[in-house]
Amino acid sequence: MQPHDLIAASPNAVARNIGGETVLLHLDSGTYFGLNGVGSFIWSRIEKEPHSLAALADAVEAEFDVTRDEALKDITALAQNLDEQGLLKDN
Amino acid sequence: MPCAPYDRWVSDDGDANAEFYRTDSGYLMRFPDQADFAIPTGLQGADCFPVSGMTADALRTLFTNSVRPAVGNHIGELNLHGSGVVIGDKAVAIMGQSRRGKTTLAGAFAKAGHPFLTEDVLALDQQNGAYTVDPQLPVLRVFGDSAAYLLDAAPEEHCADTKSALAANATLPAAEEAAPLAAICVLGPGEASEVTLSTLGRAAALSEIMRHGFLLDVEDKARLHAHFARVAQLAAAVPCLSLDYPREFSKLPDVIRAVQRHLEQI
Repeated sequence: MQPHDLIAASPNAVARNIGGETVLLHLDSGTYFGLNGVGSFIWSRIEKEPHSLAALADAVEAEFDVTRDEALKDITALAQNLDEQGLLKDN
Repeated sequence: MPCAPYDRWVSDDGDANAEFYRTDSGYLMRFPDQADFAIPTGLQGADCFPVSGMTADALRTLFTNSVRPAVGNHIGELNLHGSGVVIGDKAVAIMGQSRRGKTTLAGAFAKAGHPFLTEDVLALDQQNGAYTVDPQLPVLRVFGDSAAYLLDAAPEEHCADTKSALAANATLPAAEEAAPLAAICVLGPGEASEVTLSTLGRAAALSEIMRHGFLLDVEDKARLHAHFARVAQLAAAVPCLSLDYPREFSKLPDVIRAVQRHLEQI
């Protein structure tokens, strides 16, 4: 995945924020996926509309104590993981 | 009827405990070598087709512990797989994978004077964010070694490989009324060398509790979504504890004391 790639939540995923974390349920497979605080922050954005990885890294840098490079690296890994689980909308 | 089921409940050994089929008139739940239950689309009742030799008690258990809760969840109830007991005036739910000792632990609580509410189905009612657990059949079905422990009998008096149905009595009391749910205990694999009890985070609790639902139609996304929402509400409202202990009968009194102590702090 590249920084300019857009990602959005799959319509087949439902989420519940609970105790500061987010649990995702994939409605097709019935599997669950947990997100920590930063992951929840990202999910809350891509649930509403598509965002580029770069824009998400900017938002995470502004909100959390992390450098932009670190944020971009972590977000890219998270996005790949979500994609593998079928939790991102197909492009 | 389609030849392939759309869902299965599978035991730890890989055997199908139940298979789910779509039919022209609704659903069919098949319990291999036991019975079929045909459930009409409107969910009004179920027709039972037992295999030869099944007893009325066994069929009633299948219906009460599997068919009824699955249909109930389909129409918006919250039924979860697990046992439950009453400590003082509060209910404690016990969940865990099959063969982790849910019923034996419920029986141990009962033996210690804390009545059991259910051995297999946690039927929850929710009002204003608080949950109660309804009593179910006053019977504990356990394997021979557990039966011997709960009845203070010699192990050879009970067959080790088959389950005995122990009816509630003065020494194994069953609760007759619903009780407010104070905590959910999720049983670990029995790898702990001593009793361990720790609080699960809400998100972890949600994932854990979701494993123990009864779903009639896993392909019905709207209902799956609604069930997820109900379980999320439960996980947010009721403390969920991770409980593990060596699976030795001699440790059960320690488990009971640990849960009691924790409950006093809630």
